[in-house]
Amino acid sequence: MKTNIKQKIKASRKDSVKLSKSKKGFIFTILTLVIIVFMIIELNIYLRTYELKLAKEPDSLRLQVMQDFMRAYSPSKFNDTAYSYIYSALYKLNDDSVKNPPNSSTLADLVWNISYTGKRTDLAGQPVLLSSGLMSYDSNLSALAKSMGIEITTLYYNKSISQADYWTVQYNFSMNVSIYDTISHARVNSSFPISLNISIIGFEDPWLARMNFTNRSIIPASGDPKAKLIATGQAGRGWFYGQPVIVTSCNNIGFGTENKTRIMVTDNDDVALDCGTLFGAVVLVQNSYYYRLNDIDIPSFANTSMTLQDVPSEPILIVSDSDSYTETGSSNYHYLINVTDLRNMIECGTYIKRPNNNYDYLSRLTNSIPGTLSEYGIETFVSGTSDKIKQIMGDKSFIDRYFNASQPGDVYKGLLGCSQPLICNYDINNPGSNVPYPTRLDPNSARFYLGWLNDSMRK
Amino acid sequence: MVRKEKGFIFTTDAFLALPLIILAISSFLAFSISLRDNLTIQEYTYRMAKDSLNVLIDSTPYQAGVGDSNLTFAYLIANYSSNDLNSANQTAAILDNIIPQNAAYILEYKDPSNNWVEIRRGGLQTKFSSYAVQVSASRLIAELSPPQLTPFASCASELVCTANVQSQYKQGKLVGPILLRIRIFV
Repeated sequence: MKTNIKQKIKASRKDSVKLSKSKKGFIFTILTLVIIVFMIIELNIYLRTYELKLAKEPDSLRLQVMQDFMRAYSPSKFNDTAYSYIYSALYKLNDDSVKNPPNSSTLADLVWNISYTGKRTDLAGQPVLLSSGLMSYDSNLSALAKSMGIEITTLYYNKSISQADYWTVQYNFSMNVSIYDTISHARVNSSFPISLNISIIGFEDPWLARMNFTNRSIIPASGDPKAKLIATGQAGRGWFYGQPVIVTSCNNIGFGTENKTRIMVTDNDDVALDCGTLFGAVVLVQNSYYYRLNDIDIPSFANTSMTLQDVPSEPILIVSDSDSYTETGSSNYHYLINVTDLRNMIECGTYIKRPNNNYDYLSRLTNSIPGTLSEYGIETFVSGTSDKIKQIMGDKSFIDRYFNASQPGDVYKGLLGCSQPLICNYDINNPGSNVPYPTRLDPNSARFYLGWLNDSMRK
Repeated sequence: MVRKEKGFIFTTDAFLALPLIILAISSFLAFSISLRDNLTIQEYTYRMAKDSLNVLIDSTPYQAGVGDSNLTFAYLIANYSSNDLNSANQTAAILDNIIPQNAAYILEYKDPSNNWVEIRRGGLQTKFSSYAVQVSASRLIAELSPPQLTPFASCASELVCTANVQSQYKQGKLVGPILLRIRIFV
């Protein structure tokens, strides 16, 4: 009996195990089926999405193309493009303005018209200044876009031009660009302001050229000292600029006019007296008998402590505030000055800042003169033409002695000579006027840049 | 003994089911990622064309060893019809290293007569006659050469410098607009 019960229990347990195994197999099968169904659905979704993506690809590519067109008008890209055209327009207008000054009230529109169409629209016949303008850029892009079914519309407005500083002109405008896809009917609009700073350095000063004096690039003068004091003498007379020549004996000195352009440098007072007048001026050094120079009527300078070797080999300027060796006083000065750099600057350069005392670039461009003296006023040092400068002025110096008190206008001793008073004067028709010419070398201008000769000569 | 059998069965099920679950999850993730990032061949080729143009325009003949460092590719194109034909062609050789070996390209620009002028072609030559996809990208170039200012050295004392606008300052030269196009055949 017990055995039977045990056998029944054992059989029951076996059935139970079999049932358990059967349940687990069922669950496992279901799970596997679920996963397989899930994967099939997922694969279908993927394939369908991929098909949709393929179907949408043309639109996606079109959007990319639209973005590329929009990028061509983005501020970062279009600023450079607009700068190229507006700089070129201003440069060409600058040259053209010598004969035909533009109107200041319409200058911004004119600069735009030149940069956009290439034509100077304010003149009859509308002469072409640029071979291609910004319009060509627009039309090229527009034609390219149109071939793809995309329309581009640009609008430029709120144009203005102003002086940003002494050497920079600022051009401002706003633009609106609209890009429309005729197929997908997508549209992109963008508006933004553009401000361009255009340097005028290197441009010709149109006012200067208009006055038919010379053409000159606008290049700011450096702050380096231009006139350097070599020595202060004990005595002197008049002024002279020339090449120094050391002379220790009167033998073998030529009697031609060539020595009249030079400065005798000697330490012998007898040599100075005997043959000094063959030269344009005399510098006597290391000699205490300098008062004997009073007997020769040419510019002179004396310094008892200098040696012959102390005198530079390059041209020098001697200058005294008195024409007599007998005059003495605290205000008297007798200088030996190296003005080589100053002369280079005058001939080769250059403009200096003259805030509120002269005209700025835009006034010069538009010939708005006489007009308001600008806070960004600039001024150039200019002397006479090269032909005039090279002329020998009678018995005077090679270059500078064309200056003299009988000429109307202000003079500054020892600097390059003016061929005519107009260049140096404020206004030939009205000398008392405070209206300055751009080309002058009057004492005030010189002092402004060089400092007062007596007390602030740059050393 | 029964407990041991149950444990064995459970372990076997888990061993079989777990990889399936992991496979399902990973395939889902893989599909999802591929749906987001996979580019079609057209998009890929278009981007390649754009990138190639960008690289080319930023290149200089100097980098290619065929010209002045101050020039840009745009200037070569501007003078293409006159004397810089070889320089432009040689500078564009940089594209040979950018375009994949199984593709070909034609670089060209639009001349004033509105005709496309070929600058260079390269890559797998058979692709020109037999290709699956042809994609083009264009760029409009307008450039200004940097203005050059030559400062004067000191003038000889007796001479007068010939200072004038032309000798002292070279204005920026405007180039363009030039329409540049590259066609890529894959």
